[in-house]
Amino acid sequence: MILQTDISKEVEAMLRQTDLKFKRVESGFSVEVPIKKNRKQILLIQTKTEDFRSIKAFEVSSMVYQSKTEPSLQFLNSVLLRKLSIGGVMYGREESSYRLRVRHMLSINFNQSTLKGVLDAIAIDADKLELDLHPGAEDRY
Amino acid sequence: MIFPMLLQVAQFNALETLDQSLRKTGYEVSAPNENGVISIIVRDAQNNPYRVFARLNGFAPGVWTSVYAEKPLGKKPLSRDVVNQLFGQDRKYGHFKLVESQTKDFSLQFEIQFDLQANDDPKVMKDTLIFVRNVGEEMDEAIRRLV
Repeated sequence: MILQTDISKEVEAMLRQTDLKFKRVESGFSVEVPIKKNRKQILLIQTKTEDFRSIKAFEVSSMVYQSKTEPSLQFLNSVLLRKLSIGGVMYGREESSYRLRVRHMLSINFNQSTLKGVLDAIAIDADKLELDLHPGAEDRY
Repeated sequence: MIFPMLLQVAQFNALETLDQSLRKTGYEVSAPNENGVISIIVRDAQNNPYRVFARLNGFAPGVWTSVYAEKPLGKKPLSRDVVNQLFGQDRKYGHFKLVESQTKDFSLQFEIQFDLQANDDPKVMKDTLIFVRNVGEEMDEAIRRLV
């Protein structure tokens, strides 16, 4: 049996305390995180937890690549070698597209400053990766 | 000069908290080495040992294990088969990363980062260690067939 906890209310209450733009989407919240002048990153917060025994955590991620073209092996290796501030890279083929995301699983015992820190860290790493893939582009995937 | 000192004290305290949280699991835990890496022996139901490591890792502490640890992957990066194997399954937690040594050899790690406060619960810490061990063992076997 898969146990899941819905933490939409808690996440929404904390997002309201930030100055970030966000909206509800089917699986949680889409959040726009400004990085620097003229650059931003869209993050997805999944508000149903993924549970393994006593671990309860939810996914915070940002897409950096979505295409019908498979990224090169050299690029995937360089992505795996990269030191991210937090979390790691997820890659796979979903709905006939190749997708690459930066992801971190955040414990449900989070507070507002942890959530904001994780959002900022993922946004910065995802933006850097996106720039490596498409120099000069913004949310091109 | 006071800021770097305060940072060092905070890191020392966090490492001590991590060390204590790991010891509460009942597993064998070594004292942090000079690089702040703690080694833990996680045993399965048959009492077989498996080595897992913990460290403060910038923003969030992490627990990791070496995958395919008997020898480094060598000087070549990962093949398409190994990359597909790594990402072939949607894992709830954690991530793989490639690490390049000073001698330019590649090795592969699986890591879970967590919130120190949440993992102060020994049950949660124990389950985190078990998850890392399970993925490490499973991938080690799968990659051994490909390398």
